[in-house]
Amino acid sequence: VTKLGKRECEELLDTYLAEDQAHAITRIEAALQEDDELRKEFGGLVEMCRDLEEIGRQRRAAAPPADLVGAVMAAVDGTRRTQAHKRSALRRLAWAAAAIAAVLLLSWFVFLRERTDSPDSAPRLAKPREPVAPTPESVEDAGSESVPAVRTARQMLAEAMKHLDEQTRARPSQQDQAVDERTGPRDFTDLTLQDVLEERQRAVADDRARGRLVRWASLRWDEARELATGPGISLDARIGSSRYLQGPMGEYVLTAAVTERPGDPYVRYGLADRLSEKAGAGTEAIAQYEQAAALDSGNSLPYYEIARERLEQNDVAAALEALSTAAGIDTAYAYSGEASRYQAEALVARGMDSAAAQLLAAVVAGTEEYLELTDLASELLDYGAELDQSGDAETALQVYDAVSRLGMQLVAGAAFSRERLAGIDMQRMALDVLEQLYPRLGLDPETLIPQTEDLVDNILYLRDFYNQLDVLFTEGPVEDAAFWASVANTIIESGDLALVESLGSGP
Amino acid sequence: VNAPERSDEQLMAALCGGERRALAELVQRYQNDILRFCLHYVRDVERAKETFVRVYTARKRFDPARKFRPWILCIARNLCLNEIKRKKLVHMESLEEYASAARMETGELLNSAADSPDLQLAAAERRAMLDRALNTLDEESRQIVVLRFFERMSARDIAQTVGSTEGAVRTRLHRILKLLRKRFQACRDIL
Repeated sequence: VTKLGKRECEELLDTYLAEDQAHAITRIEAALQEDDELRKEFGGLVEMCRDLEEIGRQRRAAAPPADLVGAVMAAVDGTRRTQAHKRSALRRLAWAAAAIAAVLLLSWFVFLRERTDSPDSAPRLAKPREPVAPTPESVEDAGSESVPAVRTARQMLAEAMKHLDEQTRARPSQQDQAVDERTGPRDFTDLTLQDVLEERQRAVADDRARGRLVRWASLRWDEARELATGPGISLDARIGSSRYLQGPMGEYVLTAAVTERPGDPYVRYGLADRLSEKAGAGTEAIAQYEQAAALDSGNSLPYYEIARERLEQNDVAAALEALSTAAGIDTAYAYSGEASRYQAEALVARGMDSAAAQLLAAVVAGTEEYLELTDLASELLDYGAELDQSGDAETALQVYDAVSRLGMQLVAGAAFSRERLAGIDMQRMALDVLEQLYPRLGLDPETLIPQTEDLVDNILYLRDFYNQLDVLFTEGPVEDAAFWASVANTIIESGDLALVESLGSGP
Repeated sequence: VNAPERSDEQLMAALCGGERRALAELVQRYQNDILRFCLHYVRDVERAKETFVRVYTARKRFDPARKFRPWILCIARNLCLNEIKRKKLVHMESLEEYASAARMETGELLNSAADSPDLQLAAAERRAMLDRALNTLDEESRQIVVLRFFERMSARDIAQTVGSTEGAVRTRLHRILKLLRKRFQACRDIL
């Protein structure tokens, strides 16, 4: 049996989790037989993985055999008949509509001729479009238990979100996040600025194009590992590769980066994130978050991470202390700019054209951060729910409030729209649970209305922003490489929110 | 000589070209996976059938550059989530029910014959506790566990199914295991 170290075990476990490679876990099991320390650290996890596999095997064995072919084909035949019937009905309807239209046109013509001399015949201006108004459907959707004012505010919120989703297509949707592999005919190294620009233009109306942009901007694990360990690779590129290296390899790269750049809060924060994912490393993670917070006193985010770690350790008092410190800071942000800069360096080191890499990193900036931020909020809310279920509704309220506050701090401090979007989403998530909890604690849900209304304003702002951004990308000077280099630079250095404002067309 | 078996993606291309038999072949190939998946979530065979009907109606939207399995699981997942929302039903078939059904059908325990009865019993108890701990996870985490350990999918395919990134799924898996271990331990302590 080859003796394994702790780091090798961590790497093997990561490989097993990512790719279902049985040999990886078998090797760990063999090593655990020989080493008490390793067994203490990994024994429980490995046993749990094996148990989960066994539960899965039992479920597969116990599931009844399926025989769906006949039923599906019959249903599909039914669908085809219905479609054919609809097409035929539509054709009949079209003829009828054409006939009615002809009659109406004729009547209108006669009517106009009769009124030609009438003083009331001046044309009227079209009524301006209402920005957001609750629809009957959303009224139905709103909880019937809510008081009317809260209900109206919630409807406004739902409508505003609908507009944002539908009109801007800016939310990191399923397609946005479908980072599987860089598929398609294009060779990674052949990608040009023009390709990125055209894809961004397509992304205005096509979610899949947005997904392709994210894919192009990503590294596969093996590519990232090659950059992280290869000779002659700059520290910036290595840091950029670390976001694609989960587990010990990512930790290794970021530990080295912290040694070289001890004053960089982003790197410190990244290392803390890696440690927080590792079993038994919560205290180490907290120490790194504390150092990140000390390096960047205007950012409350590390304190929320500390609170999450403390809640995981069942240390509720320490968690509340961290949340209280966070409450004293006005702004939060997740370093999307720094991440994009390092990401662009990694893409260039991987062989991509520099201008293409810059623009690519800029247009997808904040995508990963959005996921991380909303994950953090979900976990905090889960802990809040656990506290509530265990009878401690007051503490649950503090945790929910904290999530809502983090959302507000992100809206106030984020330079990137996707971070701001995460702030909006977490406020909505928090409002959902607060609205349920308030009556049970004897609090008036109507006090949540001003926050809900602020949220609507923020959503509308973001909706307009995304419209402006889409206009910039669709109507900007396509051939002007210097212009797009400047756009990419502005986004990475100052954030996409600043970009539209700097062009003098801020919403 | 039999013709070489067509890939899922080739079958989808044939379906788009009007070959109905391609759909029957895909149903044959995936019906057990999809039925099992739907039973995990909603105990509803109808959702499995509907998944394949959606494959047919959405066939033109299938991106041939992507794999078929995550795509169809994504459809099944969305249908199940809608059903859960509709019925306010959040439930996974418990291991106990599955295991007892299996025992009735096969007349045997599902453990390795090499294990002693004591070890088998201890392992069965441990798994039952783990199964209970699984039910305390949030919906999304449970899905990731089902896809990774029950459906044996890679992080990359899971990412496509649940609409996330490979990195986020890997991170999530580590976190879920940590959390499960903690809750599992809590179950053990209570018992």
